[in-house]
Amino acid sequence: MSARRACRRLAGALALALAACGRGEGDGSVQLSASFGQSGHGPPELALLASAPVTGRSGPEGHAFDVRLRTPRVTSYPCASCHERPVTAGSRADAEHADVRSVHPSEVAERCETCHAPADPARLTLQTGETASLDEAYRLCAQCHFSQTDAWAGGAHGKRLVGWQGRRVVMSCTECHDPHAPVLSQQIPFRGPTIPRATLEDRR
Amino acid sequence: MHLTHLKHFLRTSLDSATRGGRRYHVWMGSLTLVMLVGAYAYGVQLRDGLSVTGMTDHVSWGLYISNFTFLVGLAAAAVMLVLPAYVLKDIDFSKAVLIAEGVAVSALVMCLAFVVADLGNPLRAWHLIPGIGLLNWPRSMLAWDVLVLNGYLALNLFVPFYILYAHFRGEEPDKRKYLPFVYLSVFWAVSIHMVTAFLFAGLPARPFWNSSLMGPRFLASAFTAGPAFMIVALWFIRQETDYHIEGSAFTKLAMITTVAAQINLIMLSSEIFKEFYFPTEHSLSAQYLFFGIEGHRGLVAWIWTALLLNVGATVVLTLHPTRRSRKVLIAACVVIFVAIWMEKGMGLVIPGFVPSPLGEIAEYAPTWVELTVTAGIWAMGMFVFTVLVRVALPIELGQLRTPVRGGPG
Amino acid sequence: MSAPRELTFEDVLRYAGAVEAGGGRSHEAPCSASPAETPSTLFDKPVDRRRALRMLFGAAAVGTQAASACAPLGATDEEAEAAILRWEEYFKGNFRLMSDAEKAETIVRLERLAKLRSGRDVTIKATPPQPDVMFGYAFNISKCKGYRSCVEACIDENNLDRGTNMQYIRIFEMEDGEIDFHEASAAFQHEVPAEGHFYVGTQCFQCANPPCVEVCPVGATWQEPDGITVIDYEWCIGCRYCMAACPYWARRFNWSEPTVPPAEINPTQHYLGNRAKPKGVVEKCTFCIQRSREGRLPACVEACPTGARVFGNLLDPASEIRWVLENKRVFRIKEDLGTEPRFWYFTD
Repeated sequence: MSARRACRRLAGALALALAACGRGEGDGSVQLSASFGQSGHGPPELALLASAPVTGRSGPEGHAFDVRLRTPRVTSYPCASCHERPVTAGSRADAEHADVRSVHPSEVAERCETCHAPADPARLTLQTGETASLDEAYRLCAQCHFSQTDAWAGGAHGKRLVGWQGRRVVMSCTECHDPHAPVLSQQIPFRGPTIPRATLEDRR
Repeated sequence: MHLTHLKHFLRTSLDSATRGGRRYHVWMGSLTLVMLVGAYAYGVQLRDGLSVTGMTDHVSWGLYISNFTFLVGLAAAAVMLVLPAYVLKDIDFSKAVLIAEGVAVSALVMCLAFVVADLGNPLRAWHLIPGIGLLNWPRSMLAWDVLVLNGYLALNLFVPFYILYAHFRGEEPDKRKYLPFVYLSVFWAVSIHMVTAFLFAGLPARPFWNSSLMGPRFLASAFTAGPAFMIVALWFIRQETDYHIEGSAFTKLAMITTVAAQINLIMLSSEIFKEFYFPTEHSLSAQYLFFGIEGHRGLVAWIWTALLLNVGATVVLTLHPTRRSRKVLIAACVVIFVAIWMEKGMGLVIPGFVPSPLGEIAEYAPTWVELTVTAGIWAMGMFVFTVLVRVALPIELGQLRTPVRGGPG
Repeated sequence: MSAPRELTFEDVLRYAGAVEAGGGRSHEAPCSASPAETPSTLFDKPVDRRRALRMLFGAAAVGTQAASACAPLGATDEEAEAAILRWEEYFKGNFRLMSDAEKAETIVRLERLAKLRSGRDVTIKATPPQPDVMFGYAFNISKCKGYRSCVEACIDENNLDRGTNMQYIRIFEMEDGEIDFHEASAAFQHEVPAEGHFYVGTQCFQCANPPCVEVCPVGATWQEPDGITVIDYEWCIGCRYCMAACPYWARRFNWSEPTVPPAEINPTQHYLGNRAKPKGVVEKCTFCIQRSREGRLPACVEACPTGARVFGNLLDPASEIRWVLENKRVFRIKEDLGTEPRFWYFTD
């Protein structure tokens, strides 16, 4: 069970407030994109995407690209609803969050404080000591997953949103990979082909 | 050519074609019945779509195209008689040649009918007509085939019609008027079958067909089945009518059939060698055909039957004593005709689709609709052939003549 | 729906007139053609001989149909209108040879027919290719997990026949150690990804040198300037030569009248793409032409939950597809055939 699902809901206002906080750090200002000033190319749906330019990486040919923001879409927001003050890592925190069990393949990443900033539970902590917004989860992942990040920036890993044309907006790592269980799970696939084909009788 | 004369000619021909003894009427009546049942089945197919056939996205051509392929060969084989009869003035063949052209015309009618039966949208066939439609010529081999088949049909209608009409009017046909078309049709006959072979051979997607031997093999098998059919037809005509056909015509036709059958077998063995000496992925279709793959053995019995009949008949034809016996010859011709229909029809078309280019295996078996439509089209071909012969023979025998020189009225 | 009744000759003439003045109807149905231009084009066009003949025959056809046993005891207004529209459609030319006005006319008819058939308002566009765009596709065989989300999205997006379970996309499950389609299976129905297996998806590869286009006897299929091979569904005669010619088994045939439940119809359509297909014609993947020409991603790319699918403009050096081609080891299927697919496979 993921932390997200386990937590209580938080008002959208708080999420927006957090997003606004995130504006200061990183470098990004939130682009609610009509203001982005891209030429008329690309599907109009792009204009509705909340995204911010990616920090410290560029796409093919050195072009800047955007990552879709996570925080405006968060409806259940765990930390600030309980944690008003900074917390310390330790046995109490482990007990309180016993339902969150990280099955990250790396042992280091299975410890909460490797990624979560105890001083500010709503933010992520990087190895440099810097903290990052949840919108910049890719910066955290990039610390170990070099080749994946290169491929992500280039376009061979991850997913681009809406259009091949116009502003390049991609998904961040955690949109597909649950950070506490990043390996994609097994599923029953959608129905397979009918070989050779369904007959008229099958349809009746 | 005056219009009233033509009308008279057509009326007399129709008269001749609709008269006959009891056996004739039973024969034509049975053919009509089969055609009607075929038409009903075709109606079902038109209503429900080709889903009533056994064809699938995997095996997207079936019994119709198999028959089409075989019949193009039958039509082309008429050239074997046209060439010596008209050009070399071979006296034995000159009497058989009108029959041969009748075979060509009926085979072509069947070919076109099979193609139409195979179309998903037969009402759109006008899209093939240059000018009104859009014929993708010269790029598409099917466009070539449409042109050469219709051209060949026109040639084979024109030349006999011209000669018969002249004889009907008691005149000697003018060589200058029809001989150029005869030369043309000789060239054309080879081309219809080569083009049909190229239609298959030009597809790198289907390694089973993508062989340079396809064209020559088509010709060899056509020149086996065509004259074999002619021998049977001529024998039948000789039995049933006063039309005298020289014994030497049979001997020559038997020779052609024999040599072509031998060449056909040599080519077949060379194909088999290539497929099985060092089988590659491209040999899977041949493996499916002859031995089956992964438990799918739908054509194995079919092809071995065809092969045994083919080899057996070729041996019989090759040996002088058996070939010279009229009865054995007729039997051998029937057998080899059937064998080639099996091998060059379903035995050629279906394995090309198995396995699919992505390795999936789906087998094919014709449904009752396909079988019935096929029977109906064959009945139609026989019907056309009978009518043509029924008109041509009395004219050639001098029984049908325009009564008054200059025509009625 | 009005009660069935006998159709009179006057009715027929009235319908024929109504269709000729079809521009008036076009205001009700959404149409991509400029509304200002359509009615005037239709009204002003002189009734030439072919058109007059068509009307006459159309009237005769409807009369016959109404009188025949096929339409039990006469036809309803809507059936009669549909019959006339279908008759008009029968005479239209190849899409590539149509004038803009003719394209607008046929789109009005097709939209109306779709409405009559399914009760749904659909929009059929004929968006032309964008300049300086050549579409390319890359498929990451390390990423694909065999979920077939792409297959599901493709069926919904492209209005594929539910009756025969038509699928443009095939996902092949391959055993580690070989890439051999003959050993692979597309029919798997167990939990995926299966241990020791990987997945390879196929669809139309939009070859630069397409054998299917070469063989079509009536030019009903062709390659557009942006690299998409399309089919004119009203021009295809259904000979299926293209299906025999495709080395990638990318084409599908409508063996019977395709069925899509009206509620599931995707109303955003393209003439050369996902609109309703008639019985007896071939269809195929068009890289979702109705989406890609608008700058959007094909449905399969959008739906893929693993990011195994990359799509973009090959002529744009800053595109992701170009980055993949330049930074990954890529291969294509059956390159020896010289078909030059615009669909590459790569690994992480």
